[in-house]
Amino acid sequence: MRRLFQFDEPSAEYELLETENGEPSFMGGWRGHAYSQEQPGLRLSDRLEENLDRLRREFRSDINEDFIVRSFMMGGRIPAAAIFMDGMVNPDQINDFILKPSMRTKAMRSAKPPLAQYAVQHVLAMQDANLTHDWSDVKTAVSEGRTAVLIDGDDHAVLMDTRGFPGRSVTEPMNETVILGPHEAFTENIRTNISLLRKIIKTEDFVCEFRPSGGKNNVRVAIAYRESTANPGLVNEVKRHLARVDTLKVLSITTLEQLTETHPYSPLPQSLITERPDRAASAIMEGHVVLLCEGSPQARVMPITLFTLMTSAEDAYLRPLSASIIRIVRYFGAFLSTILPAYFVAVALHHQGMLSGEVLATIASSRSMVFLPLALEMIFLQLVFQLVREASVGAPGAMGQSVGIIGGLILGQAAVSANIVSTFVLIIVALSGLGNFTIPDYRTQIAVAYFRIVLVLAAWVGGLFGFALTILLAVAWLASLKSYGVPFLAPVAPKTYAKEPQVLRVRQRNAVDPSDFTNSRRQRA
Amino acid sequence: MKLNEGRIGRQEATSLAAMGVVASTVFYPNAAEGYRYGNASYVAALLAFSMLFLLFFITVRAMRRRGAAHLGAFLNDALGGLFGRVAALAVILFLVISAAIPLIQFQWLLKRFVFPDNLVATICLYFLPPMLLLACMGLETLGRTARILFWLLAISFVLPMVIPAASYETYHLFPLPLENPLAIVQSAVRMTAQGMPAMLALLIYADGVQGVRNAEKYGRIALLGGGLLVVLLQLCISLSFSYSDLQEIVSPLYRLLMLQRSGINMRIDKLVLFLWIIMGLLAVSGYLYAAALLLCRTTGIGDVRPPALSISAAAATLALLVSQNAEWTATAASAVRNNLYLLALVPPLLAAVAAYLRKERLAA
Repeated sequence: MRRLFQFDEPSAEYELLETENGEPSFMGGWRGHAYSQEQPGLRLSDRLEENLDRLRREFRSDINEDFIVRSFMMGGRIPAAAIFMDGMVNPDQINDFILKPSMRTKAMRSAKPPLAQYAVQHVLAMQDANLTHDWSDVKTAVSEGRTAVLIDGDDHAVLMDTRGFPGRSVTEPMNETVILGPHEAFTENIRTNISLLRKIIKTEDFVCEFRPSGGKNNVRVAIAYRESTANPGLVNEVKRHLARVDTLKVLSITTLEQLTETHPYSPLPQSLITERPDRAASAIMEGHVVLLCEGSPQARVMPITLFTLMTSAEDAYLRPLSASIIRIVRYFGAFLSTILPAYFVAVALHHQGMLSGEVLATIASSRSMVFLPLALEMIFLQLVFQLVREASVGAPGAMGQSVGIIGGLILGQAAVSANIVSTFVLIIVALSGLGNFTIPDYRTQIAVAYFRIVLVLAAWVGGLFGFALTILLAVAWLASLKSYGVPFLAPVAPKTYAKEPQVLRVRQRNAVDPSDFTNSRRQRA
Repeated sequence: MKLNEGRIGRQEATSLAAMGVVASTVFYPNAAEGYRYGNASYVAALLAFSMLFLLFFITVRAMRRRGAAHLGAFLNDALGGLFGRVAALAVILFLVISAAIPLIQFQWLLKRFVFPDNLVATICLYFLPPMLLLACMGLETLGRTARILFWLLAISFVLPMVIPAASYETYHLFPLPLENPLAIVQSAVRMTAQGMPAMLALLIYADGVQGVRNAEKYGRIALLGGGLLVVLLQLCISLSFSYSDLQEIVSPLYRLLMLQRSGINMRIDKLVLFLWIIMGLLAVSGYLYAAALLLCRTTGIGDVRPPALSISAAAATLALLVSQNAEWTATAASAVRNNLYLLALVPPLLAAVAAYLRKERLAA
């Protein structure tokens, strides 16, 4: 009772903060909690034979013929072994810079414990050599193509980067081609990819943190950002999302993306996948974080907004006016692609008063022999369009084009002749399909293609009313999305200082500080 | 806590509040009342927004005087635990009724002009899913959706002023509205109550707009912008129809769009109507979210979504009941309509008076 009548009661504080444990789920429990990557580390033994036995046992050397244990006498007197995977290493490096200097008789003449440290400092002529006493580090290193040197009497191993597996050289981008601008693309080699970024970002604050991806296949990822620019909260958020991954396999950056996204069921991606180093480097310079994954010829840029997904690599290299016009055309295409089929169904089925008599007569005459209801006809044609598209993507090389022609022209013509579809609907589907291709991001294209089927269904059921409600919900859903803490509709809603990326491309200005929606460090200073 | 509050900025908060002001004052089912004593709607609107501005100013100043972070805390602080909670429940009830009012109007508009063969109940069901989802999605989503759709929706209100411009006649403004000033004041008081939910909602999620000081600023802009639009719309309505005709028209605003029925104009009236419905739903969901948030704060519920779901369902049920046009619902609706201003004005005014009587406490 005292509490009920009490004056001056301090107001209750309500704050929604996502914690390290994630956020409470609607149906109870917690979701999105971070898994601990830390495991109790086993130490190496100081007895060489014991370590080698264990390695042979765990790597199944009786089956794996490519698992090599090369024993030798270091300095002619201390038993040691180099462990590596054949085919993943550069044999010349091992022969010339590990075995040859180690097997010289005078190599360990004045060596004192710790022997491994002495070997690194005086014997092993490798640019990248680290000491570890952790058993799992040794196993990971050998699996990755590095070479571990174990020395009897020391419980440390020397890990050296001797990777030399075959890989693709830097080639032109396959999907993000430009007329102006550089013609280099990322490769499957993470080191090459980082060097491609470093070639563009020649600053001391550019950092690349290597981390395990969280997959049991021990693939590494690199988090690249500018330390003095990127928002530390954003970097931590990316790391927190990565720490959630605890899965059987991480095959590529897109697998990792699905595992780390906040909205896994969202049809729209919350990060940009690019195969262009210049695009990734540009994002890094502006304060974004880029994730690279071993074996993936793409980089993942975070955070992004809807407007980022509507930009193409070429935009930055064109003159502002041309780029703006191209973008307007692109947005118009996307708008047409999304809206047109459903709008037509709604108007033709529910609001004929909104059409002129001539248009109504044309629609009626074109549909006079078609047996399918209008909405079903529209959905059927949309699905056929997707079918043709999938078939042409799946068909090898030049056959893809032929499939497109056969599907688009012959099938379309035949369908009209057979009165399965009407010409009017065919034109609308073709227009919306064409508009769909103006969307630069492939995943967004697919999302829009299927969303318009939902819209057609809504328009069929509720006319323009159902259509309007679905659009409202879609916009609200977009407004609720966030990409690593950044609202998906920024810089429009919420409004930020950043002018880019929006529909129009502003002209290039002399600006040292980044000005974008990531709230980067220099902006806040 | 899962109150889906987050933080929104100036443009989002102002857009949401302005949409609330316009939706609640323009889409009011009982339009005839405003035109009973002469063609006074625009004068009453002007007076109503001046009063609303004053009332909002008094409440916000009282909140700042007591250092309250939001309306819930202010009612609790100014009126005490028990009376504060009673006042909060009155505000919740007012917000639920205010959410149902535009829904009723939209249901009738849709029934009359778009789906004449459909039952009102069927139409009402369409409103429910977006309303539930939007109210549950929370303040950030509502604010950002309002912001991104703001200009599109603003155009949908400019069109009814531009399209019938050729048919504006100044003689429609006569007889001059000053013949019965008391009736105008009564009409203005009712309209003040109609515009109140948007302002109360803004004060309920004041900490979501980064403080009462900001809420005051955004509320002021929303009232000025929204008020100006409503006054202009009422003036255009008055210029287009005589007051005797206006008492018969279900939605004068929609009829404005239908005045010019030639060419392309005849094809956009329904499109504009659906834009209004989008705006109305955003505003209504904002009220329902605010009501649910206040309920959470009053009762200590930690998750805004279950109250938002139930409150939204209550508002839809209310709208459905009134739209059924049964005798008892019509009587109840009339009683509520006549006394709604009490529910709207008394809790904040009482709290403001109590706050002014007590000593000043600066915000922490």
